Amino acid sequence: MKTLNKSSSAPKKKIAIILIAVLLVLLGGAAVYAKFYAPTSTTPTSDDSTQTDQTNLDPATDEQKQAGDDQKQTNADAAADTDTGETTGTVGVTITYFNQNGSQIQIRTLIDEVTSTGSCTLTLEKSDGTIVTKTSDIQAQPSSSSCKGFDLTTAEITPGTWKATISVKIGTQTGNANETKTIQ
Amino acid sequence: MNTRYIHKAATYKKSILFSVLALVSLGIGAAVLVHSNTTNAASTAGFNAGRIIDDSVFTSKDTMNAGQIQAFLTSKVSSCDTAGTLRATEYGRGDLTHAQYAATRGWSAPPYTCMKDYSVNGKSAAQIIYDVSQKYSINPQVFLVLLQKEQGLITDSWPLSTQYRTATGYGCPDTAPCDAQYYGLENQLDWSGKMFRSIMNNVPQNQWYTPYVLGNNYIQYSPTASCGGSTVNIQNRATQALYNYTPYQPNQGALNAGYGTADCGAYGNRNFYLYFSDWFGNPTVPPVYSWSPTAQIVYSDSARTVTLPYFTTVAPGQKFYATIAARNTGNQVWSRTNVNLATTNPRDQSNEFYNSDWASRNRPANMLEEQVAPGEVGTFRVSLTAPQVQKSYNLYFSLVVEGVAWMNDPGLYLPINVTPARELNVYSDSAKTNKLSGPSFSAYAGSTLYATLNMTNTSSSPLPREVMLGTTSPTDHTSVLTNPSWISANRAAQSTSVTPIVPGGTAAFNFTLKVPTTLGTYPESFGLVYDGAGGQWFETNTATFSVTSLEKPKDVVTVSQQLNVGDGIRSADGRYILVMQSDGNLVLYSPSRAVWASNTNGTGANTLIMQSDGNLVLYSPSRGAVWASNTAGSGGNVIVMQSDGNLVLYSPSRAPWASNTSGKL
Repeated sequence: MKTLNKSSSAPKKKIAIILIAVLLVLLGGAAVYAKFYAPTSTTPTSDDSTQTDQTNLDPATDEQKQAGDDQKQTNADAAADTDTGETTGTVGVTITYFNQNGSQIQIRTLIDEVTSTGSCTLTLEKSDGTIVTKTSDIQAQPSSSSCKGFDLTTAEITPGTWKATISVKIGTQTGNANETKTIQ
Repeated sequence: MNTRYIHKAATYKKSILFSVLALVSLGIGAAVLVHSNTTNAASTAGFNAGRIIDDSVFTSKDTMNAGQIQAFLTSKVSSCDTAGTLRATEYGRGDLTHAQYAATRGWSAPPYTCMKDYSVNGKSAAQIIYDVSQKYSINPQVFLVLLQKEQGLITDSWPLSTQYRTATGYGCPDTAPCDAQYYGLENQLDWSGKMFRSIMNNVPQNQWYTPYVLGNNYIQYSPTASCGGSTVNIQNRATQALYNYTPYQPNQGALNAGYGTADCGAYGNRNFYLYFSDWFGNPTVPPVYSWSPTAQIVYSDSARTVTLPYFTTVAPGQKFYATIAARNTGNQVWSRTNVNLATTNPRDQSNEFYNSDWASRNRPANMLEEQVAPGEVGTFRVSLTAPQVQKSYNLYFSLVVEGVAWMNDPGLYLPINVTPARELNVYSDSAKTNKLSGPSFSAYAGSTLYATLNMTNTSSSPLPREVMLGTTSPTDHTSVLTNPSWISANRAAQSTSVTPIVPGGTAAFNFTLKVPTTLGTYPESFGLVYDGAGGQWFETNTATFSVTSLEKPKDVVTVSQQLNVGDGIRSADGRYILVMQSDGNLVLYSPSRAVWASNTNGTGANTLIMQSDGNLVLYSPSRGAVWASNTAGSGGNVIVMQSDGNLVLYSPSRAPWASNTSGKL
């Protein structure tokens, strides 16, 4: 019985120790997480009493600085490059959007240059040979440009399959893109 | 005591202690590991390519004042290397100073001024950021993040001058040098703000065209098309505006990399989200009180059945109506008792379109609904009265929770043009160059006047394009001013418009008026009338004026007639006059000056005679003839003061003399 008693108290101790250890592990982990890593609410509000207390005023992290330094290097190298770039005869053009929403049809573009001079010509050609043409100026964007258009209706381009071609002319440079869409 | 047992017990305790310590260390390590794993995951896990930032957050212009922006800038850089003397370890060149490293790469030389210390013409960078945020009603935090993700300016302890030059990357294509017209911190921020605001406002007639629109767009992962892309449902204008800056989305590799890099990665929009989240909180969680406009409609009638165009034209004093619908994008229920529409830009300004329907001059309307839950739409109905000052107005409104907070300012405004309800111009000549002053017009009996009348449609209905000017007071009376050009004796003209005249639009008319031969003053009044099917009068706007018939002065001097001192002859249109002056000078005056004279002042000349011999002679009692046309024998028998300004002596067959002053004004 004594042996029995002895042998029954040892596992209990072990279990207690293991439980305490697990508890300590959890407490330790939770304490460290709560102290250093737990997220805090930084939801901005539009209240008149602005929210500096919710703004992170800690020094920038290494990751943030590194990302900034990488960006700086890319831009500074580009600025230091005195080669103004060989102006080729072509300019990159992409049709980024050609969709129908009810009776409205929108076509949007991305031009690989920053300019507000030049022109865009949209030529829509239907499978039956019908042609619709529109022109627009160019809208300069921060790092690219877009045609100032095009918004159409189904009164202008009737149901059927249409091939849209956007031709861009900027000085002596030209570029074009095309896409085909079935209008309902 | 059994030492062996004791030793065993001590060893056992030690092993327990080590085990516990090891487990605690493991736990701490796990906590750190869990965090480090979830930092990136949590940072980009919430990234939604179609909704990078909420419109309300994007347009919360009051999240920081200039002082708070300054404090933020100061917090991010502990010390600055203005002289560039510290080691360039961040670029793996600890052997070089920053200045030396910059020189090796062709970058600009010191000084390197941190953003917290940077100023332009005495204005701090913080103040510049704050000012542009107020100017365009954009969250200043957006500009701070923009400056960091484009140039790393917020965290940089030694920024180059070139970084400020293209601070927000505006005008910098990927494949060519930056455009100099956008250079400078203020210029860069201003262009960014202008573009953001234009996209947020989305004014149809002044649209800022973007590569992508709201809805499904195919967006590439990088400028290289072969890197692929995917369809992104752009859900709000703020996100649309960000894609205008960086027209690419991050691929999964870029998202997994946190702030790092990946193959085919584009980082602009990802870094915007990361920096914003880390510094200011989740950009997709709107403020507790926030809104976005879902409709703004202007009506001409209180029943709100007749809509006016987006660019609304009204007459001074005209009352009109607007409905503004606002979605509750926050997480608090709005109550009618304290959520009001308020004037902004500046806040609480006393508005010129105020009328007695308003609670005060800066509170045009309260909410129609008793309560509006998050996600629902509240309605604000405003009545407006156009001021007398005729010009274009932009009426800015936002929402306020009285005593609690102003909501974000999405920049909503009503563009209103106040023009005259009517504009009548009357001319003495058919070319419409000699404008008479009115509304009481004077003209010679029997002459013809030429008129234009623009009438604003101040009714609540569109006017048919065939609308006419009809006589009023009393209605349809026969006008004494009628001319053969009139449609009838009580219909002066039909509108020149080719389309119906919408409420607030203008109906234009051209017509003539015959000045009665009987001297006197003749009042007249015109209104708008439609005589077609279902014909009706639109008497909310009438034009009232009068014409005074004057005795027609002589414009000729015939044989044996004379002009004495003080006499004159006037052109038929009344503009030119030849006068025999008391100083002895015979002078021809245009409406503005003397254009011809006999230059005989001081001679005592007092009589101009058209002689039967064809000579026009000016006589002085003491000196005889002092001036003559020298046309004796020419057959000249009449001088005429013409409406073109020329004084001409005519014979039956020709004009032997003229002052040659035609067209001189």
